[in-house]
Amino acid sequence: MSITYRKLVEFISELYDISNRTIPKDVKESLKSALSRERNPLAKKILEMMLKSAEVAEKERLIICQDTGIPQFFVKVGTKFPYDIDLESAIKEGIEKITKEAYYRGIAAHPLTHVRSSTNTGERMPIITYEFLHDAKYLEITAVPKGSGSERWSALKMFDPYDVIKDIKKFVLDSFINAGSRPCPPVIIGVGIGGTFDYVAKLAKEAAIRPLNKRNPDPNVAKLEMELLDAINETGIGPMGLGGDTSALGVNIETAYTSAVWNPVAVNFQCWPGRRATGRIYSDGYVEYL
Amino acid sequence: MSELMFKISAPVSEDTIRRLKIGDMVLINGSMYIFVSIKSHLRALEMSKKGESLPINLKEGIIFHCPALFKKVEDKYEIVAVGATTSARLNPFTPELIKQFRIRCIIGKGGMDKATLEAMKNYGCVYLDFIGGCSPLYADKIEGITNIYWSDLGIYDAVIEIKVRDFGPILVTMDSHGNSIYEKVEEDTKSKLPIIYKKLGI
Ligand code: SF4
Repeated sequence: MSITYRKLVEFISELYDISNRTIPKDVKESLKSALSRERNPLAKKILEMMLKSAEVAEKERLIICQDTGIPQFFVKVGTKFPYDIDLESAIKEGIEKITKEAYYRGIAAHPLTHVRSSTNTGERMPIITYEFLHDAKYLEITAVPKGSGSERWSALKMFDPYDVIKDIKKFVLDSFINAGSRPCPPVIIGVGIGGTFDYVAKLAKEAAIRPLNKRNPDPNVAKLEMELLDAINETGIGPMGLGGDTSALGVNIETAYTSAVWNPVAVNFQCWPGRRATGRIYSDGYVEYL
Repeated sequence: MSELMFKISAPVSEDTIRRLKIGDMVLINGSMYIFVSIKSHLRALEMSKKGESLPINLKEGIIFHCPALFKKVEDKYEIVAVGATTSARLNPFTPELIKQFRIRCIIGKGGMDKATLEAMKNYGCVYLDFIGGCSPLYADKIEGITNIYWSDLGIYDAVIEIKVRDFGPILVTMDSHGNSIYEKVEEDTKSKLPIIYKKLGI
């Protein structure tokens, strides 16, 4: 058997559906350990409700949140995957299919008129980014439904590189405080540092969907991640902004070389459910969900 | 936080509301309204200003800032998922809404402004925070849609009456005595910031 266009459509729509109904394992683990550390009784109660919601959603295959978001896909194309299928159309069709079948909100809209497309598709929508995976025989796709709370409060700034570390710390902390309860904390904070104006946003996005149990391999960056996480949890903003020790589940940083004369920093959030789903489809049509 | 669970149903008396304090947990039974759009807020206020009577019995009622997901089965709508939107966008209309209709409970997310807190104090109303991402916990607590009002606005802007059973627990985060958890948290964070900045060396 080999992969067909139809199979790809099915895979995309299933993957997106999973992302709206399952909370990733690393997020659940992180919520559990946050619960064990939390001292505020109200925050404890809220974290318990969140964990319970994750459990019921999975068991009954229910939608986690009414804000089913705009669809974003991170595609990694194996260089040994037979790339002769119209992948972009398949992604569009997959989204149209699941939006209709699962009654997702058609929230994608024209950027000037803000007229909605009921299908969640349109010009350059879904948002898709591509990358290559050397030697792999599969396509690896991560689906991310971005709800408004988790996207609206993103921030990006081009700094002068005078006091780099200080600027980064302040910008991340202040962006978090500005977002407050709106991205439904405890949030996962994705931070991009370096690169260019466009690339730093991509880094922040990739950081926000990186599993919580993975630290940046550079020990200095990993240290900064932990330091910022502690600082953010010390703000006391807490689950849903109602106070407590658990304001963020993680701060993930991704970096890239940049110019010697400026330094871009970007911040993106994932709300507490950390919605994302990753799957692979092989050239013979075999599908696995990671 | 008290472990007491208060049961309430509309119409809610002022007495009942006055007993609630921030941190209390509430279970709702009976009727409540999905009342979330700016259009429906404007229409309700305009009609009441003109002295016209509304088709909706908002008096001493419970409203939910919920952009629900619906499915249409044959000619009937059903609810697929619930959750709250950021209530702050309804700040400009809410004090008047509370005053005109003696709204007793507002369920939303993120809290509301000082003027709303003041109206809650003056007329007896509480704000309840709906935890985001918890739609699955409420799936079996919504018995169904009992009425759709102002459907000419479209399903997402209409007012939808639903019947609920032990809908909760939901948390009182602004009470009718002028207390707001949001304000407390904000003050607390503000007081901690200098120390956090210092620790980070910024
Ligand atoms: S930010 Fe909150 S309301 Fe929005 S999608 Fe996430 S959990 Fe749902």
